[in-house]
Amino acid sequence: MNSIIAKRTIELPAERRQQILTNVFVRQRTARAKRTLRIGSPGSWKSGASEVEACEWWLTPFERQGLLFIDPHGDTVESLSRRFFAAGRASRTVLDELDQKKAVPGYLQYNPVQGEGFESEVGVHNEVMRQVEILADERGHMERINLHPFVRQWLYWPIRALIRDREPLRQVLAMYQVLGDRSRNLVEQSNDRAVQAAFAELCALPRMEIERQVGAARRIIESYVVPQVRERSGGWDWCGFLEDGGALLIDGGNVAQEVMRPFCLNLVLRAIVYARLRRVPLLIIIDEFNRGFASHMMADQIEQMAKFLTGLSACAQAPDFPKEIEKRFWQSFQRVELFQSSAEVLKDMLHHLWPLIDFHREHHRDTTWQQFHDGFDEIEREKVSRTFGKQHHGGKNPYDTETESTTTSTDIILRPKYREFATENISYMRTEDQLIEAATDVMQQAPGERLVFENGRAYWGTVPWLASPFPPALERTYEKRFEEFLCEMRERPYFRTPQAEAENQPIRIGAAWRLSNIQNALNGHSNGSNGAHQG
Amino acid sequence: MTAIQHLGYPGWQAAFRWAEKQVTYGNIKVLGKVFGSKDKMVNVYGWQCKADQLVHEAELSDILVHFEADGIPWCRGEDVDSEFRADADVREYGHVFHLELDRDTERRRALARRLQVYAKGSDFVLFVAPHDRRIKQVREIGSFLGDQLLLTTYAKASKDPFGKNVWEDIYGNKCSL
Repeated sequence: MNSIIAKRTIELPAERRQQILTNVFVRQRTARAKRTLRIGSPGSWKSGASEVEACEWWLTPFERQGLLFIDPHGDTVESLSRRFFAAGRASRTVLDELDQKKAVPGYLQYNPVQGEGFESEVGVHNEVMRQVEILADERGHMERINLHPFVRQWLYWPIRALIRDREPLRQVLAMYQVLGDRSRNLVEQSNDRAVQAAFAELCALPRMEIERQVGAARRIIESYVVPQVRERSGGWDWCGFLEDGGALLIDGGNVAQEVMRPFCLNLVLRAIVYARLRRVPLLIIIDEFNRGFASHMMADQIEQMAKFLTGLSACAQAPDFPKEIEKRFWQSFQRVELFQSSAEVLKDMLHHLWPLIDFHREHHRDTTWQQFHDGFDEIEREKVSRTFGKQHHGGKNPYDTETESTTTSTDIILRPKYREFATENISYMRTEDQLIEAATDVMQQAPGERLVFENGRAYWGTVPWLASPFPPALERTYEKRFEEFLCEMRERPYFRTPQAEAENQPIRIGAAWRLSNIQNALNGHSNGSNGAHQG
Repeated sequence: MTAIQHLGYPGWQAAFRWAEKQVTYGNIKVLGKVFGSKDKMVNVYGWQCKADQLVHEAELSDILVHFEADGIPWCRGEDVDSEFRADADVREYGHVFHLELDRDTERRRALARRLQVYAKGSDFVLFVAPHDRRIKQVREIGSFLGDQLLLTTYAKASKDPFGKNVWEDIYGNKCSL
């Protein structure tokens, strides 16, 4: 006799069911796709906050995650990359590096063994020019082409980046992309007259000739620069690193903003596509997100980012957006953080955000907010109530019901799960007066203090980890973490051939590694199973 | 003929008879004759190509027939991706593999130009060379292809392209499709 299978269905109340569904789908989505805008004057710890955010993101327990950090100028990327990449550097140990740091201040080093790096700027310039000439001649000989001076100018920066040996070297790839775009605006806004003239000369050439020129330059970078970049970053390809749950850091370095701009949008879109294909949550952090750089090009993309599970954090000194997209732009950010800044910026911002703030909300925190700070425990502490109503009327003031809620403010303390971070103290604005009071303080705020508008609420808080910006313990942690990650990778059978292991060669990612990665993902050995085996 | 044999005909005679029949029906047409693997003169059927490419096409069929037998989608000739213009395209694991069969007739510079085309995309390139010496050469020339280039010899590929450790990348790491 056939056995009867009794199917037991758990019947949930409709509300609870809705709640679970929201938890699973909506909250996960919103939590990972938060869009933040940071505004403040220079030195008000915008970049510091971004750096903390990047570190948090790095430490969160998602298994594979992408990080795209674009910093056109500034040393945030350098300090981050020192944390992320220090242990992964080929043929160098952390201790060696520390020793070198002691010996020579700064970490751009002259390396006499490889014959790279130079003491003076002139020396660097001459060496770069020499290299460019050699490469251009070589390529010209191969392809029977005489490289145009403007194209040689473009080659200057990647080669210079190689010679100066800056650690991430990502600007090289930036240039590589820019050459592909060959945008006209790029040069028109450049201040360098010589560059403009050379570009005009290039534009006068026939179209086929321009394409030949640009193609030749690209091929130089592909065959000469990119392999060296891969080799120096410990074998990590920039895309490959993103695939394997790593970080992608873009350092503008000395490259002008107009060079970075068209590249920025291109790269952001590429990163989104990558994250989408690999199904990893992605966080994009863009420093210097002002009108001249990237923001006006990205206004459309920002709204779409939530759909692609992509978070964005943008830092700007004073956002001056075109009038037609201004309102839409402000409202496309879920969270706006205002650091120390001028009254004009404040006025401009409150004009757009004030109507969105709900002061009389019953309970000023909810779980969606909690998801944003995944690494934190939240403690709530009621302030001593100043209302006499509580004392005299058993918790309620019969005459003024509204003041009862308004005068009580709640302090929320975020205690980090990871010991490295300091606590964050948050107090919500419950009346318009409180907000005005806080807003007047904004101009005299200390660096790191911020006024946050988020999901219809406003609160005041400090950037965690401000007390000790670069604790040595934390640096150790990241290095250790990264080393663990590398060890884990090395254990995989395809990662190293026995031959390579015997010779103790540096790690090199070839097609075999990439192919086995794909095969394993499809067979379900790792997390990235996003399709069926077609064969 | 070896190609048709792979499709399930027990001997070359049966396969030959089948091919003859197909010619009379007009399904395929004879393009020419080449010396096969055992110094036998064999017919070449298929899409139209130049006379000096006949051997190349015959060898390519010997490899592609394994993909056909495994039900892996492939295309050759005019159907391949026009951007790269490989000898054949194979789809596997949701990725495109460009199959490039080399007979050691191209010179270094021409080969370099050919490989540079693949650097435009990030697809895999399956490069089949006639012998190990050529593989060594290709490894040097195509080093910029990094994680795209997979190499093997014709002997291995025509026997079984899915065999264990048949393919290797530019660093010498072995892998299999």
